[in-house]
Amino acid sequence: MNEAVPLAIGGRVRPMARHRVWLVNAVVGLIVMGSMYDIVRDTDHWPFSNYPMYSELQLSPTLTVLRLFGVTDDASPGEFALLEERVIQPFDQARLTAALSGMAYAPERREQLTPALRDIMARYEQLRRAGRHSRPPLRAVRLYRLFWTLDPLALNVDRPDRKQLLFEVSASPTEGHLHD
Amino acid sequence: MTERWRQYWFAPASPRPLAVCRILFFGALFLFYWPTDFAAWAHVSNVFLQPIWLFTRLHLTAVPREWLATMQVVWRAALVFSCVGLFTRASTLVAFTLGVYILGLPNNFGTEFHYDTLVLMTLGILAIARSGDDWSLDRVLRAWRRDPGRIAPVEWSGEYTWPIKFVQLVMALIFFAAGVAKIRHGGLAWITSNTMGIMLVQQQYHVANADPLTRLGLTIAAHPWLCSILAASTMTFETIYPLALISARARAVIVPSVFLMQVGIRVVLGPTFGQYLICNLFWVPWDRVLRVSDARLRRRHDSTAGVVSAGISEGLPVFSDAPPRSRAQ
Repeated sequence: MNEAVPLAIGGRVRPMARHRVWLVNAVVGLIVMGSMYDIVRDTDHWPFSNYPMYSELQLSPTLTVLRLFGVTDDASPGEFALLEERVIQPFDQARLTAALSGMAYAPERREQLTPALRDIMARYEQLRRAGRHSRPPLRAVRLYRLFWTLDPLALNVDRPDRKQLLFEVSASPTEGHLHD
Repeated sequence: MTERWRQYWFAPASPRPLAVCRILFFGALFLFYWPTDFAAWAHVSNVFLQPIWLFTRLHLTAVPREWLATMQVVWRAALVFSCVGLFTRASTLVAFTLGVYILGLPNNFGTEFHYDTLVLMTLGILAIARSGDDWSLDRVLRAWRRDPGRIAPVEWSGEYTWPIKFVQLVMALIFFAAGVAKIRHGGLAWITSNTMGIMLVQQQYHVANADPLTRLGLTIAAHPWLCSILAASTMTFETIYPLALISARARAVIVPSVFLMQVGIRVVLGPTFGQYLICNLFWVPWDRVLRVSDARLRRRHDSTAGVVSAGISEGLPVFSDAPPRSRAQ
């Protein structure tokens, strides 16, 4: 098993043990096969993947995204987008949007939106109290679907063409409201 | 064929380039992940939980915050120990094993991202490599126990070749996959349509894991021909990346180009590929870099000492352990 592989070519060379060579060959084979499987089948088995990021065609200069807004707990409540990582951590914008899309667009998972949004609101408040951000306290969290016609200079980033309210949860322990 | 395979993967090499990769990789990883608190995922509600394939297969579940916080501390310590080469076999193994859980965990919440996949595979490769044989505290301690004051040179071996080649192979597979995905889903239209231009503008609307560093993407998007060139370059370099494994000329063009492409993605699109940038250090020909450093040090020492042609510069630090040219070839 520990037979030396004849690779030595000089005085200061230590040959590799045969079992080590086999181990490396096996792991190389495993990684190549795992990677090629996902590439050929167009599937994803983390940490293997087909790496499809940005591979889809974009033919229309429009954008539709889900976005969370916080409703401030003031006499005249205002709304602001929960964009910054420090108010939604450990999520980031892309991961949070993907997570909420999975619930909003799958009828069997829609009921999860209430605990999900409540969880985000609770963590927002924890982070606020811990001094991790200085945003105002929230009365409610709203999930919107935003539609934009892209502006070449992105001047309308804060002014979507349309803003469709999908879901809302308030700080009070009542059920969330579905807006279809 | 077998001989070529063996020569490619297991040709004897100095342990030093691998040692440099180990030091820089683990050191950079420690600094890169320092601001990230993975333990925070323990606070996230299970309604977000969508277990990934790996966690399902390994029966990994969410653990309490205290456990996760402890695992994180041990993982960070393992990264430091691996960097300095202390208990290297154990520390690299711990870095990989805990890395599977810590780096994989966020991907169970909402969606799978692939920023850490290359890092995880590299951790796995270094966990079975003999990366602590040189420039490590392990080596110093071993020598000190045997013969204090004298550190014998490490023999060359194929053990120091394959880990570097393996990381390069993983990178090639990843970029090749990304290139194939663009060909499959977009085809030639990914280049000829205004897909790149539209994506560059879309990214300004806070949709990625980080916003673009500049608004340069908007300027590029205003020039469709420039977008097409960028799209064509991206698709081409990603798809032909595996050529870098076998051709030095291709490597000299492809690897720096894709490195710059990833820097460019951060600047104009937003997504953060810091982990991939770090792993590019496995492409650096450290043996040559170290030889050049040695030669420069010797020249500087010789000139300051007034020695015209000293064969050996006593007392100088020597970075390269390259044998005489005849043997190295």
